[in-house]
Amino acid sequence: MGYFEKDAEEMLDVYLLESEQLLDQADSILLRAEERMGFSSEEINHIFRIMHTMKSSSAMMGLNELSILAHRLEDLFDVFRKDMSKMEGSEQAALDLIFAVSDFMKAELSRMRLESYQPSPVKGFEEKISRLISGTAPEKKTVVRIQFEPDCQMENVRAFLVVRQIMPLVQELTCYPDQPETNSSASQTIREEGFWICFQSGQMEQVLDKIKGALFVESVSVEKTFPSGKDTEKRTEEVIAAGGETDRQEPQTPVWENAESETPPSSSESVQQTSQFINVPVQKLDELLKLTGELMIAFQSDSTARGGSYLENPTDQDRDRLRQRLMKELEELTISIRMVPFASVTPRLNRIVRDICRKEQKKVSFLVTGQEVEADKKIVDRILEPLIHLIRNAVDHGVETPEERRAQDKPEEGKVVVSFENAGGEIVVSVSDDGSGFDLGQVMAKAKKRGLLDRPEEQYSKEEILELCLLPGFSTCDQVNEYSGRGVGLDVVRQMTEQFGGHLYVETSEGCGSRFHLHFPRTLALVECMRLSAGGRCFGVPSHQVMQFYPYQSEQDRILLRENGRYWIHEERLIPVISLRESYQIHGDGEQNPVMVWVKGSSREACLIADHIEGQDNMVEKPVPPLFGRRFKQETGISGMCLWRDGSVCLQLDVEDFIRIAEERGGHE
Amino acid sequence: MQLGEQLNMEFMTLQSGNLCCGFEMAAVEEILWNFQISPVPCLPDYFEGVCNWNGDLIPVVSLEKLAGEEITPGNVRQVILLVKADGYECGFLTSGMPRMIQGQKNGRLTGETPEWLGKCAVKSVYGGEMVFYVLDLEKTLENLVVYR
Repeated sequence: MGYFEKDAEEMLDVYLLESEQLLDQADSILLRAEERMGFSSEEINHIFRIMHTMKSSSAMMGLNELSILAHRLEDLFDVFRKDMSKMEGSEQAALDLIFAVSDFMKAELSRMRLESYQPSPVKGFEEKISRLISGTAPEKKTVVRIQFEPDCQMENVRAFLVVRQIMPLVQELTCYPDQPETNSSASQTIREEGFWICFQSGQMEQVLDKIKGALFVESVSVEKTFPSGKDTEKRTEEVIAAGGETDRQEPQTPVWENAESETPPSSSESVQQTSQFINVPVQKLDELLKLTGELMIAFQSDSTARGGSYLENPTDQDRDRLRQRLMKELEELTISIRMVPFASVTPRLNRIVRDICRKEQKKVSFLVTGQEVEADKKIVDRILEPLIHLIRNAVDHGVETPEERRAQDKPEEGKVVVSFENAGGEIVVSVSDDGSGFDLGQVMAKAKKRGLLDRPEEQYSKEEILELCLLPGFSTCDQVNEYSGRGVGLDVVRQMTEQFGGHLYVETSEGCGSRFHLHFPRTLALVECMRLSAGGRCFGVPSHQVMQFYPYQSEQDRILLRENGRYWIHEERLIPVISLRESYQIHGDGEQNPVMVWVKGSSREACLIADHIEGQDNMVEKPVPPLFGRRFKQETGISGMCLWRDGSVCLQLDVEDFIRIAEERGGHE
Repeated sequence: MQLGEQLNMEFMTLQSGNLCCGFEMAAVEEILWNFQISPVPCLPDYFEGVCNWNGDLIPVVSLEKLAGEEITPGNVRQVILLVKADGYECGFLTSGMPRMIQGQKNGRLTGETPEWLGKCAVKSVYGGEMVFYVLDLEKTLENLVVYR
């Protein structure tokens, strides 16, 4: 690996795991401290210990910049430990700085596995921490409101020129209305409300003089607050973090921030790197050892299988039963080792909500329930990204501003709840808010505008309208901001859910809020399947997707033949009928009495024709071999393979892809 | 690679019709005699299916079909040579018996060597006791990937 020495490279996985856990702990402490606007002595000691550990382990890895940064934070908390009054008056700024350092460290950790990794400089953070330690208050932000002379025309251009003039003197700048140089309607807003600038600078007097001396400026006043609104975001962080380029589709915004700023992507933006390690309770390992020992004894010859807890004169049947019991216990224990609680993602969710609320200037009470529920490590690792999307949507689109909520007699503080539930073999993750809910009329209007409707509007059910929101690129938001509006989030959520064999359901009530339910299988190791045979081949369909099955002959009267295939008439719907033999070109004599199995995916349903139903079993699913290619599932409808007891392989069908492929081929029976 | 190193290399060879293919020993993981192949649909005809090895499903290809050789009717395909290269694992099924051959007993032939034999990429050709084509497994397996 590029940056690290060979010795350090061997320790990288452990270092990353430990550091990520430590930073999560630090974030939890910071969030609690932010609520109280102060640290308790225990919290200061805890963060001190965290930074001390990070300092030494980073130094061991040759990460001198991170070690220095951790050391400076140690110095900072040492100062707080001795004299808490150092923080007075600048608590929020101090917390913001520490959060920013935490984000920077996480961003560094996430890049360390890359071949091209090089440590980022930390000089800027060092200086800011030094200022905090020396008691110099971090530069506070100043808000000014500029009124231009009446009838000066092109107020938006005037505003842009003012900003250009003061840029070299300020570190950060936000303005309202945003992007006046490209937004011609900004002139009207400026005329009515003035042009607002929020900036940070060590040369306040010079900045104000520049503003006052600009052409057509009538008056400049320093204000206490900055107007809130969605078009006041500061995009420059992403521009700098991405090296000056963004992959956004909107026009390149001017860089309005000092280029030496080290503002890293916030925790909301950083890509989650999944750890290869898992925490396993020692008790489970002890049990595993014990069971392995018992299995060895059970498989030894007759003469040794006596005494103790075994039967005096065991028959072959007894020994088989014992072995089966032990194997079953071993299987269950091994699967349970992969299970981890959802509590590991909670600290990050708290942080995401905190960051979004601060930037969107919304008040949200965030609650997580059921954190102790366990699921397969893969699911828990990957659930963070869809949850981030849903929480962003809830805060950005769902929860209204405090003013809007007051006008609707709602409490000023919105509510977002994430719950984890174990529902009989399935995990249900719900994200709900008490915001405005989906405006179904707006959804239909947008869908119509994009040509997504294939029948009259009134024929769409509420569920079908909500399905439209899950389409790629679909968004009812006219404006794109840092968090949403691009129509990517819900589509990504659905894809990630389905990747694990899960579903996404949406409920909404206009004016009251929305609820998203993600259903996942509890474990990925075992899949409960219905096994079907067709032409000697075995196919598996997840049991929860099988609705019903019938002898094909008995349903002949309800089969309708059309140009593009056959359909089964059921509950006033036409459900496509697809033969497994025909889909997979399995030749040979057909079965005299085939069965018809009605299956339903998250958005498609069909009736599969198979020779027999072999049974319903829990099976261990294996991934498709890499040699078959990344797109094997999308091209064939086969998501994996399960080993059966007789050594044969059962091909696991992905119902959605299978039906889609058949429909595209026009290959209904 | 130095000539001395070449001569010290060992190869596992498999007869495939009239062709003898050599596999560098470093890439050989296992030789399977008792196996069960489960066919998988929607794959090119040289894919025989998959077989289970230590809990992993290994794709199996027919060496004869891959090399463009005719399969003699009645020949029982009796061995799978399991190889791993460039992150891909694959089993080569053939009727021939595997033999281990040392490079030093066979001279590497110079002159024009074919780059491809059917879908198999050729690295070099050795002569001596027998002529065999050493397969470039990285290129061959990369070439076999189906749905990219």
